[in-house]
Amino acid sequence: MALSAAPMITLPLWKLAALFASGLGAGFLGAWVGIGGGVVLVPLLVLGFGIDPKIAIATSLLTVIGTSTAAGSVYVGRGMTNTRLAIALEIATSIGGITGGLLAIVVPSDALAGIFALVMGATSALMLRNARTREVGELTPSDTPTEGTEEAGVLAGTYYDLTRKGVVHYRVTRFAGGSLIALLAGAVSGMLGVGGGFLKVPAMNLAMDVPMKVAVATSNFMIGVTAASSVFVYFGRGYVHPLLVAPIVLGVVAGALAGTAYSGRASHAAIKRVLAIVLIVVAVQMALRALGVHLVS
Amino acid sequence: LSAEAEPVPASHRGHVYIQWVLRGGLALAVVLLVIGLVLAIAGGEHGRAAVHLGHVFSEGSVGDRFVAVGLALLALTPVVRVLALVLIWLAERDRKFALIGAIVLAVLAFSIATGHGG
Repeated sequence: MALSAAPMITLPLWKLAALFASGLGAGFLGAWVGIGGGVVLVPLLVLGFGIDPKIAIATSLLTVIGTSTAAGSVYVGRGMTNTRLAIALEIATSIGGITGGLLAIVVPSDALAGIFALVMGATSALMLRNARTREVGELTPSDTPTEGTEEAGVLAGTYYDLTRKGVVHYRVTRFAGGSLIALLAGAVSGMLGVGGGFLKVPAMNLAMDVPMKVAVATSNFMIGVTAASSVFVYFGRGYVHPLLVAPIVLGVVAGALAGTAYSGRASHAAIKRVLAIVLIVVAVQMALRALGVHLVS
Repeated sequence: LSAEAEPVPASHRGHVYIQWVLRGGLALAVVLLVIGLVLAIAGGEHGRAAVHLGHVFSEGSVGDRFVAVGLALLALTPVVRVLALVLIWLAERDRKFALIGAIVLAVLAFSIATGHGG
């Protein structure tokens, strides 16, 4: 491999601090809206730091795992995550992840940036159209918050909704259709270094009758497994640069823990609007990159 | 975590185990990353540009190796998470989902093998 004799790189302290700060912001946003932060981080590394898209994608995948692990530990503890749904969807998503990773290796970097812009643009349009989430599940009013549960052998569960003030009972529907979207989400994740939560969260909520907050928590749990399915492809080909990744991962973990703490208090519509705005900004920037317009040389 | 007379639901017990797997893996990875980063900065040589999966223990400065092992460990935490779920579901006699988890583990194993072969 060409990169096996990789040179030493020197990063000044201010740049390490800037990378840490970038991770902090991406981690917070990622945990808050149920995406891995890669959607923010990849363009930031490519456009702001001038890093090659494939190295940025590999870096982002590791931060996705960091976010998923940090935020996941909180969500799982609250019983918000449906782990059975997560793993059942992961069959499709992880296969998609490996496929996406292998594809990214052979696709030119500018083309990757273009695909990134297209995916983000389409997603933001979808999210804005569906900014108001429909409530799903049966609500049993209660003032006492309880731990969420999931049923053995089936895809169903409960969680306590702070906004609706009660225990919500839900049952997952249309699993096959959801798996198809999960496959696509995995491929996008492996190819572009994003968690793919921006596809999985609406798919679970709108198509599979999963309450929004359970969808966010379950997606957050999944994105780490999805990222792991493709990150080894990049690891094996020398796209992981330790000194570059370390400060970003540390920032992302700190940001994700803060973002998760805030997510329980945000309303469904607010989460979706923030996500849509972020995606639009990202899409425009990456489209410019694909067309050869470099904001930072 | 719940009232003493109430039996803890199986799914909640599982969630607690998974929470510890996530916290433990993450804490270990973070400690290694911090040590490695401090050593790399203190050493003046700020780091090796790229690292391959098979060479995390053998390439670069001591700081690089700490960071590389920390990153490899971080990348493996989702695998451990799925493995833990499979064991929990086996203990709960939820064979259907244990099998589903085992399939995901097989896919992840294939991915690791692919990375090694790259």
